[in-house]
Formats: sequence, C-alpha cells, structure tokens
Amino acid sequence: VIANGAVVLERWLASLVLAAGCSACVWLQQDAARVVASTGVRQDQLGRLLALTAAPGRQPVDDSQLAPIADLFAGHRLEWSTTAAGAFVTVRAGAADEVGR
Amino acid sequence: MSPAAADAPVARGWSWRWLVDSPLVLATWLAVGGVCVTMLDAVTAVGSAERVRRELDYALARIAAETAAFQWQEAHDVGVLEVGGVAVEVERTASEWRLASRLADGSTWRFRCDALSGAAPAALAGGVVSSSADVEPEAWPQLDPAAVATARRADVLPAFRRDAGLALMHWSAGTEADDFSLDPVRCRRGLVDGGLIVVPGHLWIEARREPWTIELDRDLTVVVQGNAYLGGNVVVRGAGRLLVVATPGVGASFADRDGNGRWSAGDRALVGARGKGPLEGAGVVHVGFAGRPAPETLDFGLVAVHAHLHHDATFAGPVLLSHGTTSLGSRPATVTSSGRWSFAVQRERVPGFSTVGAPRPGLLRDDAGNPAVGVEQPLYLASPAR
Repeated sequence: VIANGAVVLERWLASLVLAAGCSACVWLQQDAARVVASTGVRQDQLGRLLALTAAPGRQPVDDSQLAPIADLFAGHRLEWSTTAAGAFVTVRAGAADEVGR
Repeated sequence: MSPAAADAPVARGWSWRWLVDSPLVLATWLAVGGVCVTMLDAVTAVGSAERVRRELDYALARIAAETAAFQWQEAHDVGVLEVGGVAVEVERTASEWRLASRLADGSTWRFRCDALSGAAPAALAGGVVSSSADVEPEAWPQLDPAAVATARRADVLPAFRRDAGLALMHWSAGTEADDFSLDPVRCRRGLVDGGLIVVPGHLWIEARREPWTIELDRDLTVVVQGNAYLGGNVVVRGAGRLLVVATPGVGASFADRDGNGRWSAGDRALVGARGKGPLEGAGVVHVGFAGRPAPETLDFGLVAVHAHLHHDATFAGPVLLSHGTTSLGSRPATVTSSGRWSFAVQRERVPGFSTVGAPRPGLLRDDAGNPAVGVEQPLYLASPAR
C-alpha cells in the first residue's frame, strides 16, 4: 500500500511539474509575442521616418504621411516644417495626440 | 559465501537510466528544457526590442541635433538649445558644428557637420543634363576661381605623369597642350587624396588590362584645363567620389565631327573663339577611341562642354554636358548615368565649385564621421524652435 501510494504521489508531482512548466512556457511565449509585435510596429514606423527624412525638401506637406508614425517617440510629436526649399520632419515636445490642437 | 561477504554493500556503477527512470525526474527535465527554449525566444525578443529602442533614440537625437544646427544663429559660440524636449549642446566653429543631443533618459548622442557657405550647384544632384539651357543658369556648376587658383596641380603631383607620347598613339600630329596620365600605382595607394586638383592640359585614361583604381577617402574634383580622353575603365574605391571637369579655359571647344582630333572644316564651334588655345580644342571629352573596346566602368561624374562618343558610355555619377554629344562610331551612341551616387546639393560641398544661397549646416555625421542617415538630410527650418 505504501509503495503504491509513493508511486501515485510521484506521478501526481510529475504532472504538477509538467503543468507548471507548460504554464511558464505559455506565459513567456505570450510575453515574447507581445514584445515582438510591438517591436515590429516600431521598426516599421522607424523605417517610415527614415524614408521621410532621407529625401528632404521634396515631399509635399501632408499630415497623412506622419499619421502612421505620430506615436513613434513617447512624449514628443513629429510635424512638418516648411521652407522655400521644401518640407521636412522635425520634432516638438508634447504627446502625439496634441497634434492639431 | 561467508556472512561477512553477504552483508557487504553492493557496488553499483552510474547509469543514464537514473535520469529518466522516474516520471518525476523526466517531467522535471521536460519542464526545464521547455522553459529554457522559451526563455531563449524571450531574451531574443527583448534584445531586438532594445536594439529598436536605441535606433529610436538615435533618430530622435539626430532630428533634434539637425534642427538645432539650423536654428543656431550665432557665428561662433557654445550653448544649449532645447528642441522638442531634447537638450542639444551646440558648439560652432568657423568650419563646423558640434552637437550633442541629451535625451530624457540621460543618454547622449554626438554629431558634427560642416558649415557650408551655401548649396552646391543643383545640376549636380544627379542624372544626365545634355544642355545647359535645360536648367536654370544658377543651377549650372561654376568653378570657384579662387579655389582653382590655389588648387594642387597635376604637374607637381606624383599621382600624375606628363607623357608627350600619349597623344601620338591616337592623333598623327599629337596635341599642342601638355598631356597627362595617371600613375596607376600611386592612385591605387591613395596618394591622390580628395579636394581639388587642376590638370594644366589634357588628361588621358588609356585602355589597359586592369582598370585604373583610385583610392579616395574624400570627394575629389579633377579640373582638366583641356580635353579628357577616356579609353580605359576607372574604379574608385573608398568613401570619396570622383568628379572630372573638362573646362576650355582660354581655349575653344568644338564638336569634332570628323573625329580627327583637331579643328578642321566642318567641325562645329561651341565655346570660345576659334583659333584660340590648342588646335585640338579644350573642354570636351572623348569616350573611347576608334577601333578600341569601349570603357565599361566609368566610376565618376562628368562636367564638360561636349562629349565625343565612339561607344555608349555610362558614368556612375551625374553627367553635365553644356553642349551635348557627337557620335563618332558606326551607330549613334548615348551617354547615361547609372545613378550609383549623386551629390546632396543642398547639404554637401562639392570641391572647387561656387555655392549659391544662404550658409547652412552640411550633412550630419556621427562621431566616427559616418553619415548620420542616408545620403540626404532635412533642409533648414522656416520657423525657430519654441
């Protein structure tokens, strides 16, 4: 009886360890997936910013070009500055949702 | 068997089965392995996120530094300018800006840029211009006389050789002006250097088995006060770009329609008074020679009055010909630019050329001297920072 009890207890503990391991894996994977998704969005926004700043003075002033990267920098907002030579992107302090106020 | 032998402990060796014998041990191994693999993924994701965060910091610091450079009005001073919540320390000397962007997290990014007296000629922005009438007059490149007067001259530079016999290999009567060619070994060893070089005569790039390789760390403009005869391949290595300028000087340029290498009846005068200067003219370019293979790699830009083409020619940089081309081969030839490089005329200095417009900062470079981004940068601001 004691031997059978030990076996059952061991199997129960093994199940517990497996369940804990699986839970940890799932939790880690979800967290990693969230980070990867967020990084992908940021990287895409960064690429758009580089495209806008790589050929200065040529793009027409168009707020729709900045909309996808409006929240790129926390606490800062991007905006167009215009000169006789054309338009280009600059940064100002403030949240992105303050644009247009 | 004696009783003592029966009571002795049984010696047992190590067995790998111990690692998997028990369900609990096996489950522990599986759990640890799974967590380790997942942890590796998570660490990779966090590392990638950290890299992107640093790239974002760099981009923010760069935009702020560039804006500060345009807004800094003091000629020689040191100070701090706040741009979009980023504190930018500005130090301006006569020749450059030094900028340090300090972000909210305390990280500091340093940049520098040249102080330019104005924009470079707009026509050097790239592509092919086959007539000066196609662009605005101020867009056409004008050599800076002061820079040309003080430039290094090919007749005293070891990377160039004067060779009286070169022209006789192609023209029966040779040429009246001095003929220069490159020294292949010294060019390859980087002894040409950047800046501005004046060739007081014709420049010959002869066809040879190996391409003419020129090591350049900085941009170089070679002003040929004669004709440029391009028969061989030219390869430029390094960060510098090569621009060859053929200028008539006091001589005359003409379209050599019969291809005899000198002024004769039927040729078309283009620039300068006929009869002035050398008989073979000046300020024009000959690409290829009759009966010789075409140069395939012309890794430089070109500014000249006119081009005589025995073959199609493709240059790596901008090609500006104020009076077009003449085809001398059996079929019409064209000149093109591969567009492999061009000048960011608003933000870069082109050695030897006059500038137009207001003074401005050049392209931002990082501490190591590399371009901060791409080949072009934002232009100056219309309004000062608040």
